Amino acid sequence: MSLFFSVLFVSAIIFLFLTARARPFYTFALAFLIFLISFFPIIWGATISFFDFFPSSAHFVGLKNLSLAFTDPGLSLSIKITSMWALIVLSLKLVISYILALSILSLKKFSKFLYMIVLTPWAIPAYISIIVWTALISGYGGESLFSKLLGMNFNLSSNIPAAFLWTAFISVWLGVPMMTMVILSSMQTISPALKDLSKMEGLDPYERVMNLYLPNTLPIAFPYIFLSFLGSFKEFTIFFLMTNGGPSMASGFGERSIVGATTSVGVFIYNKFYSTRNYGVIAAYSVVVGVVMFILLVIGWNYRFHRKKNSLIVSTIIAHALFDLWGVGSGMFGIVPILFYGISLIFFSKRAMYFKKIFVAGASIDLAHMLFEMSKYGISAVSLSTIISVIVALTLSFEGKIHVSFLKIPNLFWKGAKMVWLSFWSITVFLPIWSVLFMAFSKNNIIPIDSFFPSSFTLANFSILFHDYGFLNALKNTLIISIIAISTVFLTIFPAAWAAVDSKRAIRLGGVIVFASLFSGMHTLIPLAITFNFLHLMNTLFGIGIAVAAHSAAISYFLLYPFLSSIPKNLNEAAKLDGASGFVRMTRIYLPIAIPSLTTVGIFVLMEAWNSFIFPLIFLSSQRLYPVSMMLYNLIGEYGTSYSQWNLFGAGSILNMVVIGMFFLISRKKITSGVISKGGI
Amino acid sequence: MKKVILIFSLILLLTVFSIASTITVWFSWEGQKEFQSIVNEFHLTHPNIRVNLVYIPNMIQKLRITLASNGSFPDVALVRNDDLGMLTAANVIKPVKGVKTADVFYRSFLVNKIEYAYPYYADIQVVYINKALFNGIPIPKSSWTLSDFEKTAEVLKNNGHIGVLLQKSSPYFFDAFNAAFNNGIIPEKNGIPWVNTPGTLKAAKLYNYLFNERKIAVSYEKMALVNAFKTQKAGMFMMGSFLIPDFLNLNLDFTILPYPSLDNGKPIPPVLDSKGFVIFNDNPSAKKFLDYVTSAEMEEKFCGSTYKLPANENAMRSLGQKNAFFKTMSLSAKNALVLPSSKAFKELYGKAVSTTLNLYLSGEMPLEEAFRKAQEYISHHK
Repeated sequence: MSLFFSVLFVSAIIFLFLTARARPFYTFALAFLIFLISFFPIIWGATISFFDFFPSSAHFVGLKNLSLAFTDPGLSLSIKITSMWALIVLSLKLVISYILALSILSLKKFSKFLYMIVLTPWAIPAYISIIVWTALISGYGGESLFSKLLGMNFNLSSNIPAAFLWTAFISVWLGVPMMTMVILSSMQTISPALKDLSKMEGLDPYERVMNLYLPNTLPIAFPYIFLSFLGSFKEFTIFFLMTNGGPSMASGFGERSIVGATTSVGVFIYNKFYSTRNYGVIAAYSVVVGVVMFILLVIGWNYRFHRKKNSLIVSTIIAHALFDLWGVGSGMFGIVPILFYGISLIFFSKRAMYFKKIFVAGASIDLAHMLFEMSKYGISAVSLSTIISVIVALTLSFEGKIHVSFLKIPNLFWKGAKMVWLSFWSITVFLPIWSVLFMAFSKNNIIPIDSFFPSSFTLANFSILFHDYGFLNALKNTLIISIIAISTVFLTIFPAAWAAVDSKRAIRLGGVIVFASLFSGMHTLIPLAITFNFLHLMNTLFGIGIAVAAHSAAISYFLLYPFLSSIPKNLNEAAKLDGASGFVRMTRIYLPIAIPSLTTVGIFVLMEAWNSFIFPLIFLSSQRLYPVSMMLYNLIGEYGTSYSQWNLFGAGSILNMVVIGMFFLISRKKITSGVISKGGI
Repeated sequence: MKKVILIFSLILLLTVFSIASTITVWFSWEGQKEFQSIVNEFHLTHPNIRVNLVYIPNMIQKLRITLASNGSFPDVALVRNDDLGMLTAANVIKPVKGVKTADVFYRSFLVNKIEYAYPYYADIQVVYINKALFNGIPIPKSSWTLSDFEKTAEVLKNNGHIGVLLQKSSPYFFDAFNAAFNNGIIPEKNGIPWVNTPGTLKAAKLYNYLFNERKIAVSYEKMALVNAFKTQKAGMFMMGSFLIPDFLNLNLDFTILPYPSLDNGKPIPPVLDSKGFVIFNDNPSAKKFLDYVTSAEMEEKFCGSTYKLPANENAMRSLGQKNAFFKTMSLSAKNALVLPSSKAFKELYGKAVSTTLNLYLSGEMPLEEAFRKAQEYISHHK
């Protein structure tokens, strides 16, 4: 316990040092929340990595655990797999979201309807959609509707490409609504004059995207895009529910760890949690993952500032070298591309324009080498350093160019393609909903589904839920958690974001929130539980609510801060001259204008709270406090060795979706017009 | 006068509730409704003990996290027998004394010869027979052999159905075959599971023969496995007895058989998936509650409706006469495989064996190399 208090004290000092200059009156509430729920657990985790730590006994072992983690080939392999997967997810998510956003903007009729369809996956809790998608994809040993359509077997436990790509697709499907919303918001910042000009110049859709939309929206949407990439790096639930880290790979069967084709770092650490009770070792693995995230964060930070190309190139070189040395990069071969990047840096400092070409040449060699190695050794030859270099090279070669389409494609083609694409996406949104409906109205407890309508129809599943499983009580608990989470976010994030807009000193807290959000995850839940025990927040809905709020803080902050920044400063200055206090300016000027943006934040937090599953699972020990997510999980149970009630699960999912859908309908106008037109990002 | 009686009754009621002790019970797996009704009955007969019943979707996950976070354990929790190693190593559960139960259950909950749980019930692996697909095919007798099993599966396959369904990479299924070639046990040396034995290799070869050479066995993932049987795609299905109530509710035309024996007469021992109540403190109310729920009458009530094999001998005897399902389950229990309760078995064996089977059966790794690597993984973490 003395170790716990010492770490609490030290981390409080570090936190104060990092955030002290932030205006405390407005930022204290958020700072307190972030410290308790995100920052302290991270410091605690880092501390115990230096100990052999079994709860209630700790023995200092220095760097032993960290060295164990750094030298585990299983962890390196898992990091490579995760980085490749995260890159695929991000690329697909960006492409699909851009196309959907452009389609919504270009439609004269039904654009709001289409927007609601695009947002629908957001309204289905992830654990429901993942399970339903898994059944649809894998069917019977890989034989399913999809396998018949595409002419191949999708056995997720043995087909490596299928497992890798389908998990990526599901992640994209789940992430597209939010990404589309962000991109649509950023598109609203493009001046109508520029849009008109592009039309007058006769640019085709491809040229408009490459010369108008991408250059103008990417920098604005970048914070969210980057957070989304790092979020994919931490992904756990999709793998856990779909593939459990498999299929197995010969190269991943090591003495120290077992890594399958979809063993992301989240799954890897979870598996460690099950194979050892020495939490110091688990913490050490988490620290190593944290180091990787930190390096990525540094590159992302430098990536943002267009003029500081030297910082970007330097950080890429350093990251390349570190990853090569550690074993998650290109190994000794990494010297070759690094040489190119070094020369590129020299040319940049001499203001020679062809520094970009040299960098791109280096990245091409890097990529060619990685692909060659992959053809020989498979996924274990993925190089994280190459992936980073290629992303940087793509950006450099894209910037400042005018893209001309050589194929003059008629407009009719674009319209046709748009219709086909939108129909396809609408079907993908509809498919899981249909599956859930099927289960809910079926007498038989059946999944996967292989007919369009259930053979026996019943409404009994719904009444059973209310009578036997206390669905109403679960709904009430979920609502309470959501209200606590939303209120906490409003009361903490809004004043802090306003303070950051009003005074540059307060922006530091934003940085700390991002830092904390990147490092939190499965591995920080244990220290968080210790903290909650200490504060008597275990087994309370309030505890769940504030935990959800803290975990939604980063995205909420970065949804709100840019919006508040975009409000003309002269309003604030005029009020200041009139003698209005900070509090008055915040509540009388900024708050009313920010309501559309706050609505989006509210909806985002509501979704997070409603779908929250891990927190209740860990922190609740009382049946009467269970929210809907836990009740639905109970219906599935420990699948494989117990009996799952899919039809009741379907009925519960439908009711859950109806309630969320109602919230969507109520706030529809704000989501579809308010924030979008104000440039919420 | 009425007012006085009313007030007196209220005071009495309040007094009873104020001196009532509350115990928290974590319950999991099937039978939530049935167990709740037993708790309700307990409340009627024991008004001074309140039971706070909490249904836990994934018990081992919850216990591990509680352990890791130094959190509060309940008074009582229902656990699987192979979870005991972890709990005793962490020194959080108390030994129990004098719990009378069937021998196979008694052995299930021993750690270092000390009994650590009130055995409650078990699911036992059986072979489900889809009678509708056995049109003209004789249903084997309960004394059948592996050859009978293969022949039946072959005929079913030739009739256009799946011969037998099971999950090929799951240790839950493999354990029975593994034990069949290892004198009825999962081999261990000094508390470490041993997977590199000739018997284990033989079991894996048999799997390869069934799945890849004769192709009479088919492996699906979790959800599809049960549904393929329900929708009459498969003639035989190896699984725990916990699915019987679901199949009965669906009015499926099915029966169950015990696992066949090897051709040399040695049984393929079905896994006894036994659950028992562990206690985390010396609360006498918890003991009273457990004596109540594990009594013959209550066990019969719970297991009779959920199709579980009761740990209480009297209840088992009584239910064994109830119908053909219980008869077969009782028969299977005679040869049942009690899984090791060691920490290493729970934490390492499953992952290693599952990976090994996947790699070997998909042809990605030779048999000996795959099992050697599995052993290295297990031994490294001991």
